[in-house]
Amino acid sequence: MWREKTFRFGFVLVLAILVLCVCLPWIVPQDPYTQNLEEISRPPSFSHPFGTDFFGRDLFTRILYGGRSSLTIGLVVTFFAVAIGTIIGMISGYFGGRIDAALMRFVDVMLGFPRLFILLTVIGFTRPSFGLMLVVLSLFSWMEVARVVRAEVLSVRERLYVKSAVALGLNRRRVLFRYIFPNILGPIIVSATLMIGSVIVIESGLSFIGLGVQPPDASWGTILNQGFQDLAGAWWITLFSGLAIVVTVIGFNLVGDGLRNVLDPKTGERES
Amino acid sequence: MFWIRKPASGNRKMKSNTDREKLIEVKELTVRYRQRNGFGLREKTVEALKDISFFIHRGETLALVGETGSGKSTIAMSILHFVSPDSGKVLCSGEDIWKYKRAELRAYHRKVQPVFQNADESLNPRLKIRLALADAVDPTLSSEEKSLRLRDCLSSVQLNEDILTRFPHQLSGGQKQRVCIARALATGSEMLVLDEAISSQDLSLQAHLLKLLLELKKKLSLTFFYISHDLETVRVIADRVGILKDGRLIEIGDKNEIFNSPKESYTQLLLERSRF
Repeated sequence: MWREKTFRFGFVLVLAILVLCVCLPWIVPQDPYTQNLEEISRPPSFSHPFGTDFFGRDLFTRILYGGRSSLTIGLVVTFFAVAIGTIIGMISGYFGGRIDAALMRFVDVMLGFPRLFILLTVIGFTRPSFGLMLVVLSLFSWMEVARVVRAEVLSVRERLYVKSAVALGLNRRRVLFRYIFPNILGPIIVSATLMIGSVIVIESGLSFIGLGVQPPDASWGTILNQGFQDLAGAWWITLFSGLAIVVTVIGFNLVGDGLRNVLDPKTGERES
Repeated sequence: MFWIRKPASGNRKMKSNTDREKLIEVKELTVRYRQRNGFGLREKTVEALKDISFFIHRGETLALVGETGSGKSTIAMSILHFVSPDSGKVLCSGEDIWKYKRAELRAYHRKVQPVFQNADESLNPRLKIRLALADAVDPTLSSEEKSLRLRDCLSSVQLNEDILTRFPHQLSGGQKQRVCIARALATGSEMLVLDEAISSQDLSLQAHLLKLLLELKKKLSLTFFYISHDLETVRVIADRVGILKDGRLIEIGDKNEIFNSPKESYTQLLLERSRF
């Protein structure tokens, strides 16, 4: 796996961002909320590597704190979306017949709704909050995973080792979780990794238009929005928050692509 | 080997064919596969099996011979309850297996075990051999009894215990097939459906596996349904032989009868080809 360049590069990138965001209090001494009216909109310098914002807060600190929100949403939403998608996909693929038809039509209906429109509607009717965003994003992100998992289950359940397991008289739960699930884990991990990036982008978009993380809490989307108000005067705010989003999303996508190459027998060596 | 099922009747004399118990009976079995063309618009029906009827006596080896695509594996899959018949029945001790309730079906599965051609594909690549075999052992047993049974299973197929900690990809082809046979025996099965079970091995290994199967059959009073395209192995292992062509059972009878005086010209052709 480590020989795969794409994976290696993405992994190092993601690890660096995660370490920076998690170990934040030990790295940067500044408080992300303390305003300093003497240092309003300062360009990047030695004391403020990413400059300061309109309230004189250190942008490097804000972006790293914002990374915590964005990554938390990315990881938590992906976890729940993958869990829901995996359960529905496995039930659909394994049991087939009417259960499969009903679940897949439900997936079609869910995919038929424009996701952003639904998100805006739901969040628009209530007060935007971190928890609400987690719930809504999780509930509207699982469909692709369900389809991938269903397709994998359909293929794996025809394998002889699954037939042998059925012939041993094992119950369905044991066949599903001992014989099918471990063998579809590769594609699930790949789609999960790729999903983290897309969730971060959606979260940034929602926060950008003011429906995601609410100020004074930092998120890459809210910082981007702030910078947008004076793009010519304080360009660094938009640049660095935008870069944080791009680099993180690229990192997760590279890890996902790399894993796909490693786990796909047609393009790479199969994990064993 | 305390766990091994006791033979139905220890030293009984070979009864005549009409007196012996029919373990499996296949009655007028027809199986059709539906194929769709590239755009899924037109459906074509392919008749894989047409009106097949035969029975397997308890304790005998019935071999089914035929070319690729003749429907051998479809019969095996029907007997194993994996392919449902379009018409006809599969009976086990007189009961239709397609009318079994879930618990009855589980019991039937444990009684009639498959050993497939591709041992590589028959073992879960993510499961160590110990767990693969443990799944086959009766779950109601205590852990001590289970481990004793595992060891018995391995020794019956002449494998060492050190393979228990390995994954399937760490075993050779012959070892994998032995593990598959051990797994099939660990359920306390009465019948093995051997679908080209030794065909993919090299000749010396084939001879070893054949010898092993014959020993196991004798020791455990097993019934074999042996499917193969290789007449030489059939000659060694079978009691009765059936010849399958294009989904039809064209001839079935005693091994010597089929090999020495075949009635059908297709059987004669198969026998002639096998001599080369």
